[in-house]
Amino acid sequence: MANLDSIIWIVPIAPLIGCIVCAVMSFRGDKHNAHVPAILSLVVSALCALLVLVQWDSQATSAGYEIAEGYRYLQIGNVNLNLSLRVDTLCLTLLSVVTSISAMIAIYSKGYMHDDPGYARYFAVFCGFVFSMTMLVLSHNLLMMYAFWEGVGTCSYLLIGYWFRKPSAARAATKAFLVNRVADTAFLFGILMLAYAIGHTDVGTTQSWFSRLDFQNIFNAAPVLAEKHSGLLSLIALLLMIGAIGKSAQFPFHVWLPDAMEGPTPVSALIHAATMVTAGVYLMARLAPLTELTPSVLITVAWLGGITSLIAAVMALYQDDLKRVLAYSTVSQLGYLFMALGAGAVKDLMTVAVVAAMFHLVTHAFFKALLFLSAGNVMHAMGDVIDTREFSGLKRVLPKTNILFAIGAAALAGVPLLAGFFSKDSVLAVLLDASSDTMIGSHFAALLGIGFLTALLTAIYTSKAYFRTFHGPEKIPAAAGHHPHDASNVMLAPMAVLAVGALVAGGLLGPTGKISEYLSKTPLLHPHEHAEPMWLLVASSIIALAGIFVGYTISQKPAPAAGLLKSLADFGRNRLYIDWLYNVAIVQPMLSIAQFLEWIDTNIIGAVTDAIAGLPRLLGMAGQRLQTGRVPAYSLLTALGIAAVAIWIVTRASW
Amino acid sequence: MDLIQITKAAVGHLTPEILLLIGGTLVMCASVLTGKPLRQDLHTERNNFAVASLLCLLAAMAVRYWQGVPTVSDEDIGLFRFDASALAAERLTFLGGLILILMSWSTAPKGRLAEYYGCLLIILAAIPIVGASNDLVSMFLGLELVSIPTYILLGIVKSDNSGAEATLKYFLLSAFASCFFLLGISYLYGFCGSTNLSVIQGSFGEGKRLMALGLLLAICGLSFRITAVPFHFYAPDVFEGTSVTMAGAMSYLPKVAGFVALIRLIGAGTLSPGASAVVIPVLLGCAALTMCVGNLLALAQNNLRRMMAYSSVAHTGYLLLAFVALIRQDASPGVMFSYLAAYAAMTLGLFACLGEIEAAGGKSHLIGDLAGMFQRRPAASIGLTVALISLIGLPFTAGFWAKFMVFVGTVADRRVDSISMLMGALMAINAVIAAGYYWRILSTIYSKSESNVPLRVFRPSLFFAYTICTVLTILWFFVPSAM
Repeated sequence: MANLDSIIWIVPIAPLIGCIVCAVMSFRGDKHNAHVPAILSLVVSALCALLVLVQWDSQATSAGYEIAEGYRYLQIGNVNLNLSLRVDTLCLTLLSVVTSISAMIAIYSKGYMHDDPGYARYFAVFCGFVFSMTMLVLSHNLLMMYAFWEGVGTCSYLLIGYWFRKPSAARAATKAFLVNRVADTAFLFGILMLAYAIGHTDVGTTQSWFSRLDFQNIFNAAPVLAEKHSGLLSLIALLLMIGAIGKSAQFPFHVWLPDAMEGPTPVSALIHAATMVTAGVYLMARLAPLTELTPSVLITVAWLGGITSLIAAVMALYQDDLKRVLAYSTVSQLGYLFMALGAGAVKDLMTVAVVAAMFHLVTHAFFKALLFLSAGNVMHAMGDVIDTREFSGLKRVLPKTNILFAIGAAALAGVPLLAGFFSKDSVLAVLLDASSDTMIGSHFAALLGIGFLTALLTAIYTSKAYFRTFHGPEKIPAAAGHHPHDASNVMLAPMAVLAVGALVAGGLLGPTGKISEYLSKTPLLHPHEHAEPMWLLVASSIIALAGIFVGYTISQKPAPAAGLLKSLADFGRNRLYIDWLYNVAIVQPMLSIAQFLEWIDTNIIGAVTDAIAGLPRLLGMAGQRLQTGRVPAYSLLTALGIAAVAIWIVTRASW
Repeated sequence: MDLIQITKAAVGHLTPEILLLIGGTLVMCASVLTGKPLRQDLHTERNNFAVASLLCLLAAMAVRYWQGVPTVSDEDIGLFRFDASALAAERLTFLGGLILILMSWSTAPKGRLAEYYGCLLIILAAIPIVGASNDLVSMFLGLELVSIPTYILLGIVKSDNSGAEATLKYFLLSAFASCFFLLGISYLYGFCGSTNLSVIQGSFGEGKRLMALGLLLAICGLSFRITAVPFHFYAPDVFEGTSVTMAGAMSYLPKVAGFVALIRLIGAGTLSPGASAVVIPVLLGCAALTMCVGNLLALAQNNLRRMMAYSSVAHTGYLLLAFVALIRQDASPGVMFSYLAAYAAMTLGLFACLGEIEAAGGKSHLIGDLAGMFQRRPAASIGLTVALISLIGLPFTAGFWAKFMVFVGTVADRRVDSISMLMGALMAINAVIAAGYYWRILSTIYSKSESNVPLRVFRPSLFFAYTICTVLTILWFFVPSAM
C-alpha cells in the first residue's frame, strides 16, 4: 500500500503548500495571482482524494482501515507523537466531499473576491482551512484530531473576521470563537478523561497518553470501560458530544453560525455550510463504536438535534436576510444529521444511522454550497445588498443564477428525485426504524414527528426565499448600480458542477445502496438489513410539494401587520430571543464577575505578585556584592566551594 | 588489536580534527610564510582569512561526511573512542564554528587576523578531541588545547584596559581551575592505576572516598569551563571586557568542551548507587546554585553583556540538571546535545545580532542602548526577538523543546525521589525569573526612542550568521529530531 500511503499524504500537504505560497505572496507585492497556487493545490488535493476513494475497494486490507505512517514529530520517553493518517471508507467519503467542494469554491472565489485588497490573505487562510480540515478527517488519534479541530476553528475565525475593519464582522468572529471555545473546553476535558480512563483498563496501562487516544485503541478499550465504568463512559461521551454540537452549531450553541455570515460568501458556503460544521457529525460518526455503548447520550444527541432542526427552521422562516435564511437552514439540516446519529442508540442500528447521516451530509454539502454561492451571485449583482425586502423579481436580471438557485432550493426542499429528497428520507427512515424499539422507541417516534414538521417548514422557507428573490415585480436596490449583471463564467462553472451534484447525487448514491455498501466497509460498522417503506417516500413528497405551495403563497402576500402571525414573526425574527437570553443570563453576569475579579487582580493578587517579583531583584542586588572584580576574592570563593565539597565527602561514611 | 593499531585507527577517525589543526597552524603562519605583511588592503585581507578558515571548516565537515560514521567496538580501549557522543560533540562544534567564523568575518581584530583565525580553528579542532577522548591524558590535552588559544584570542581582540583585565582574570582563574582538574585526575589515576576512562568507570562501583574526591575535584575543574557556580566569577568581567564575537564564543565553546568532558568522565549508568549518593547531591546543589545565581544576578543587571554572562551561567544550571538526569539514565545524552544545539542557535544568534548593531554604528553595551532598535535596524531586531523568545523557552522556538526535555528528564524520578521534583520546581521558577529579564530586552527593542536614526551599514556575513541561527531556532521547533 506504499503507493496509496503516499497519495493520501498529498491530500493535506498540497493545501499546506498552497497556504504557505499564498501567505508569502500576501507579504510581497504580487497579490493578484494568489488564486493560482491555491486552486492548483486544491485541485491536486481533490484529485488525490478521489483517486484513493475509487481505488480503495481493490486495495482495502482485511482490517478495513489503513494507517499511513507519517511524520514522527517528537519522542520523549515513551511519549511518541507521530502524525499518521487513518484511512477508511468513512473518512474517504467526507474527504472527497471536502476536497472537491473546496476546489470548486476556490475557483468561484477567484471571481467573487476579485479586486479585494486581501486577495492573497484570503487564499492563504482558505488553503490553511482545507489543510486543517483534511488532517482532522484523516487523524488517527483523537488528540491529533483535536489539534486540527482547533485549526479549522482558527481558520474559521480568521475568515469570518476577514473584513475585520467592519465592526459587525469582528464581533461575529469573536462570537463564533468564544462559543466554540466553550464547547471545545468540554471536548478537551472529554479527551483527557478518556485518556485517563483508558489508562486504568488492562488495554491501556502500558501505553503513553498519546497512543492511548489512537482511535483503534479507543475502540478496543470502549467495551471494557462500558462494562466496568459505564457512568464514566457516559460522562466522557457527553463531553465529547458537547464538542461535536458546538462545532456543528446545534442548540444551545447554534447562535454563532448565523452571525458567521459576516464572512465572504464563498467562505460561508465552504466552511459554514459544507465542511467545517459537519466536523461534529463526523466526530460522532467516527466515535460510533464508543457512543453506541452509551445510548442515553445518543438520545440526548437526538433530542438536541430535533430541537435544533425545528427552532432553526422556524427562525429561517422569518429571516429577511437571504444568507441568514440559508444559515438557519444549515443549522436545521445539521439537526437532522444529529437526529439520525442519535438513532444509533437503538441496538444494531448504528451502521444505518451513520450511513443516513453521512448520506445527508454529502448531499447537503452539494446543494447548500450551491445555494450559498447563488446567494453570493445575488449579493455580487445587488451591490452587497442581501436583504430580501430590498429586491425581488431577479429572474430576468440573473437568469442563470435563477436556475441554479432553483435547483439548490428544490433539492433542499425535498422535491422528489433530487438529492435532498433521498437523503432526507433515509434520515426519516432511520428514525422510523428506531421508533419500533420497545424500550426507547417513543423518543424516536416523537422525533420522527419533528422531522416531518421540519421538512414541511424547510420546504416553506426555501420556496418563500426563492420566490421572493427571483419572482414577482422586478425591484433592484440603488446600491446595485445601473446595470446589474449575472456572474461571470468562472463563478458559474463550479456552480454548475455543484448543481449536477445536487440533482443526481441522491439518486446515484441512495436508492442504489452504493453509499451504505461503501460505508459498511468501515471497521466496526456492520451491515444491517434496512428497508425504506414506500409510504414514507410518498408522504415526504407530499409534504415537500405542499410546503413549496405554502411558501409560494406566503411570498406573494405582504408581511402580516398585526395579530398572532405578527407576534410569531417577531418571535422568529428575533431568533426566539435566545441570543438575548444568553446575553442577559450569561454574558452580563460574566462581565460583572470579571469586573470583580479584575479588582481582586489589581489590588490583591497584583500587589502580592509585585512584591514577590521584587524579591529576586533584591536578591540579585545582594549577590552582586560578591562580584567584586578582584581575582583573589574570586579564588577564595571558589576554594571555599571546593572545600565545602570536600567536607561533604568526608562526612559521608563511604559509598 | 594492539595499541599501535588502535591508535592508527583513531588517527584515521580524527582526520577532520587533524585537518583543522593543520589548517589553523597554516593560517596562523600565513603572514610569516608569505614573507611580507599581508597589509595590502584590510578588506581583502579579512575576506582572505575568513574564506580560508571557512574552507578549512567545510573541508573538515566534508571529510567527516565522506568518512561516514565510524563503527564502535567494545574493545576500543585506546586514547579515543568514537561513538554517538563524540560525533554529537563534533557536530555541535562545527555548527558553532561555522557561525563564529561568519561573525568574525567583519569583527576580527585588524592586524591580528592570522592569529585570530588560527586560534579559532585550533579551538574548533580541540573540542571534538575532548569529545572523543577515552583517556584522562587525551582529555586534559584537549581541554588545554581549548584553553590556551582562548587566552590568546581574549588578549588580541581588545587591547584596552578592560580587555587586558579580562584576559588576565581568565588566565589566572583558568589555571587555578586546571589545577583542580589535574589534582582530581591524578587521584583517579592513583586509585585505578590507569588513565583509561573505561577502566576508571569500571571501578566506580567499588570506589572509596578517595575516588569520590578525585571525581569531584575533576568535576570542579570542569565546572570552570561550563561557568558553574562557584566558578563563574570570571564570566561577567570577561564578557564585558571582550568583543561581541568573543563573548558569543565564550558563552558557547567552553561550555561544549566542559559538558562533553563531563559526559566522557561519568557516562550514563556507570555510578553505583553508593557513588551516586555522593556525586549526585553535589551536582544537584551546584545546578540549583548555578540556576539561581545566574538568573538572580542577571535580573539585577542593566549591562547587556554582563546580563548575557549571567544568562550563560543560568543555562549551565539547566544543563547540569540534564547531566544529572543523564547519570541517572532518565535522559539520553541526546537531551544535552539538543540543548547545546538550541543554545548555540539562540545565544550565538543573539550575539550576531548585537555584532551587527555594533558594526552598523549602534551601541549594545547597556540594555537601554537597544531602545527603538526595531525602527533603527529591523532585521537584527527580529533576529534578537527570536533568540530571546528561544532563551525564554517559549513555543515555536528550539528553546522550548530544549527546556522541556530537560524538565521531563529532571522530574522523571519524582515518584521515588522528592528532590527531583523540587529541582523541577526550582527550574520552573528560574525559567520565570529568566523570562523577566529577557522580556526587558524585548520590550526595550520595541520601545520608542529619541535617537531613531536608522543604522544602514550592512554586513552580509553577520546577517547570514544570525539568519542561520534564527532559521535553525524556528526549524528545530518543528523538527526536534534534527536538533
